Amino acid sequence: MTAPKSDILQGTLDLMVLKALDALGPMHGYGLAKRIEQISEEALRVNQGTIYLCLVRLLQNGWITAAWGTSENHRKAKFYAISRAGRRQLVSEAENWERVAGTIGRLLQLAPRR
Amino acid sequence: MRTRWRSTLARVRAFVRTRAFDRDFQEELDSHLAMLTEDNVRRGMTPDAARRAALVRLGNPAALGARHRDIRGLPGLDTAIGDVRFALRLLRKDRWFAAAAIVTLALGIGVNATGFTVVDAAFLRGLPFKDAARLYVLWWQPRAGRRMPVSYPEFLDWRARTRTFEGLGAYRSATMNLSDHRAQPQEVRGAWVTANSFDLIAERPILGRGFAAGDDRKGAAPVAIIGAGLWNARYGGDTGVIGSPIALDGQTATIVGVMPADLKFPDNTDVWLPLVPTGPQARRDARVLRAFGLLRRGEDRRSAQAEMNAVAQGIFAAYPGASDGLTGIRLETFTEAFVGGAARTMFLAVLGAVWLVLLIACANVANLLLSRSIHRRHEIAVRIALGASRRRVVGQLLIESAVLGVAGGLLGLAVTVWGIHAFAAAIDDPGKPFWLSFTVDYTVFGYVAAVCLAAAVLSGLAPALHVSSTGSGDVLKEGARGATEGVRTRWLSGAMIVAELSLSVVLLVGAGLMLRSFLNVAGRDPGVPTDGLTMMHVQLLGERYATAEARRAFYDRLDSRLVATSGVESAALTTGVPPFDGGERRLALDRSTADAPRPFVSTVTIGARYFQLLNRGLLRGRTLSAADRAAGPAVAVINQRLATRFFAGADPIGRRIQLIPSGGEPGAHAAPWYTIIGISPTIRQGSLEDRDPNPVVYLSYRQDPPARMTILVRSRMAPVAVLSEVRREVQAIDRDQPLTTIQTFDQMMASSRWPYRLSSGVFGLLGVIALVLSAVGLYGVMAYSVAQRTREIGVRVALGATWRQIRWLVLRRGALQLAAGLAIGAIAALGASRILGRMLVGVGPADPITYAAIAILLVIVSAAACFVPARRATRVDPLTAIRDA
Repeated sequence: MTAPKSDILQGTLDLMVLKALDALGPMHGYGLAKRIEQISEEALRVNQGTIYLCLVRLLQNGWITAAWGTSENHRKAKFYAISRAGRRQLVSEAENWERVAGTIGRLLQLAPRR
Repeated sequence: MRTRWRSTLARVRAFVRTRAFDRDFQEELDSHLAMLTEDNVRRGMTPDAARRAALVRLGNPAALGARHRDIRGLPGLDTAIGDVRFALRLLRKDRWFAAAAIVTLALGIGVNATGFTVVDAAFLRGLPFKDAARLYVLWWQPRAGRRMPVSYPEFLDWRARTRTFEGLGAYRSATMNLSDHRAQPQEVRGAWVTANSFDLIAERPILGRGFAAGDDRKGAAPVAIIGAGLWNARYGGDTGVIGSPIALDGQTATIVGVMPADLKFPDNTDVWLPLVPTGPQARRDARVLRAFGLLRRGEDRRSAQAEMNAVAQGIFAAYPGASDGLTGIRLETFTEAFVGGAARTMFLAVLGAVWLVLLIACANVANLLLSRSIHRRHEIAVRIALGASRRRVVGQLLIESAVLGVAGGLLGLAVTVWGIHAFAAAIDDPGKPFWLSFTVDYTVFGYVAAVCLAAAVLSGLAPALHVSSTGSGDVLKEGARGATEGVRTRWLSGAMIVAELSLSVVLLVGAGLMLRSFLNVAGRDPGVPTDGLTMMHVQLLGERYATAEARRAFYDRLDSRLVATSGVESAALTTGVPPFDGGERRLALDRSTADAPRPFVSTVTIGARYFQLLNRGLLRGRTLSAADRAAGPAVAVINQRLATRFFAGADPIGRRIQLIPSGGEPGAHAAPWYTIIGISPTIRQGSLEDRDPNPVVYLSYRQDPPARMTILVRSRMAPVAVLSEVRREVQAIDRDQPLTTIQTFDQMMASSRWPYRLSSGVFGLLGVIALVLSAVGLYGVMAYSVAQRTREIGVRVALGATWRQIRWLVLRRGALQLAAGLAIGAIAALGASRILGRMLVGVGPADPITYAAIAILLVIVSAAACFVPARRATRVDPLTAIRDA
């Protein structure tokens, strides 16, 4: 069984968080929020706090781990890191996403009938 | 799958440690806020503006916290726990209400679970053996009658032909005389069992060995196994008992093993011998054995029944003459076989009654909840107006009744434990099967839990649905005006009161009928002076007393010695102590034709001093005496009742009667003829259940000495002293002859009235509980309704209504409910009391006196319950009522 079904936006946010943690290494919630806002204004459409509702879900699925640490500015912050299960999930989700995106892309490229 | 499992675990952990998780999350948000503010300041904002902007960017921390908690934890359970807390707070505030509801439920649940425990022990739990579910009792199925034992050769045929049974065993029980050099001879319950019996029930000895395969072969060295109860009582738990000799009915055997104390299979047995049929016992028509079998794994009752039917047909074909009147083989579980008839009726009646009590308790609590929830209508209407869903409101009200149910259940469990204790003490009867033990176990615990839940839903659902369905707008408007209760509410609580009253009628009628039966039985006495009477039994068994001559000699010597015993005023031998008899036989008269009816009469075999002991002289003729020898003509004394009934006017003395064994064919010429020599006064010798004393024929033991007789002694000594005196006389005649079961006459009467006392006591108690519950319920509803109508009453009084009219206004409703309850209850009781059937003595299930008495009782109690509220209604001051309400 893979991840539980989720709506597209939530799924996108999950994927973005996992990808960010995979690419950039452990980060705290504020850092993740900033990073994701840089990529997409849409994803955290309401406010930055939404990121924590996504993080707790990923934590419970065992895809990320969390630990208190110190930030670059010597502030206490909770750092999240991707786990091995999270990497597996990222790979399968990414493949899935590419397949869907490819299908949709090809569909949109179909030439209109003359 | 693993992901879901892991996330569930995480949710439970988060739920359990909610506070720690909340704190952790708050810290995380704080740190987020601090970093965001810092960045804002760096972009050039003032610290104040930076912090405000950060808060907007992050979102409301409280709302985030709540959503965070929902996502990471168990939101449903969270709500439920909140509801439970709320309910507990409400109940603590409303202490009297809570106490009334909890006590009511505890009574209902406790009484119900007690009844269930008894039925569970008697019908559901079965034997305490491994694989007890695979054990069956096997009988011949006769064409007429329920079942018949099997003979040894037939049992061997069954055993040889069955495939569905892993093994078949057989046994026969008897009372045996145990004697050895260690202690006084004593009477024990013994059984001859096939050597495989203990293997079939998977029981092992605690000392020595069980029976081995060869032990039940003809000519094997005789061995015996004793129970630990006997081992401790008689042998003081001495391990040296193994290998020592023991005499049972004069036959010597060697003790080879001791079985555990709780093993009393099959009939409260203390001593087991291998079943070695000899002589007449080995005949094909000597059907005296009970067979039982252990079903092979994977087989079921139906396949076994099919196979045994085929086995039966095979035997019928092989022995056509010996199988007349048999149709097949009957399989029964031990419970079916040994808890039947009156006991089954009694237990089922009790189970029905305890459910009625629970229903009454639930109706009561439902009414309490209803009147209370009407108080809370305003609160609920506000909650609905503010957007609470109906489901949410009903759920919350149900949680309240569940809290009451659980509290009631816990208290009810205490009631159960006590009730079972009391019941077990009351029913401690040596005749009950050894495997019946009334204890509270996990089954009972689970049952109580289920009953709690049922009680909570039963009592909470109607009020909850009712209250939540009231339109919130109306209530808010009504509440402001302080209006009367709604029509629907009144109808609902009225219906519950009617239900309670009619259930109480059913229970009380049952209790009344039982009580009348008990009084009838208690009022029947033998009609002879019984002070100072004690009785002991002597049973002449074994080879030594095989002949009538030997038994007659024993009784003759005993009879003459008894008179001379010190401290004994008078003594006599009899087979039937009044009010009981020695057995029934069919009566034929000398001048009647062959096809005349053969009525049943009681027979009692007595010694010469019987009537003298009972202080009753004969009305006419002479009594049986030492002169009536075996060789002389057979003579009999009849009682006055038999004389008037069968000799209407004619002189019976000198006439001849024939007594035919009740199992035999009428007109069997082998039955002996007796000449009537005297007429005795009518002494009750039959049973307590008979309305009038039976016709009785008294015979002399000298002409037909029975194996078992009762020694009746009138003495001023203590019963134990009498026993030891008489025992000395008995053992002066035969050193190995035991004398048992000393009982005073009063004890015997008490124990024969015991079942009626028990059932009338149980039903009486249940009836009283039902009555009190209904009265309290009625009172509560009336009082509440008066309180609700205070304003209306005030207006009526102000407009000129008299107090009489007001009182009637209040009472009318109670009177209508009572009338409906009585009518419905009486009809239901007519149906229900039919179940009691055989347990009723001298009273029919439709006994008008009982019904009338119960109706009067209910009217009085209901009137009392309505009276106080009605008085309060007439005390209403119209001015205050209109102003304040």
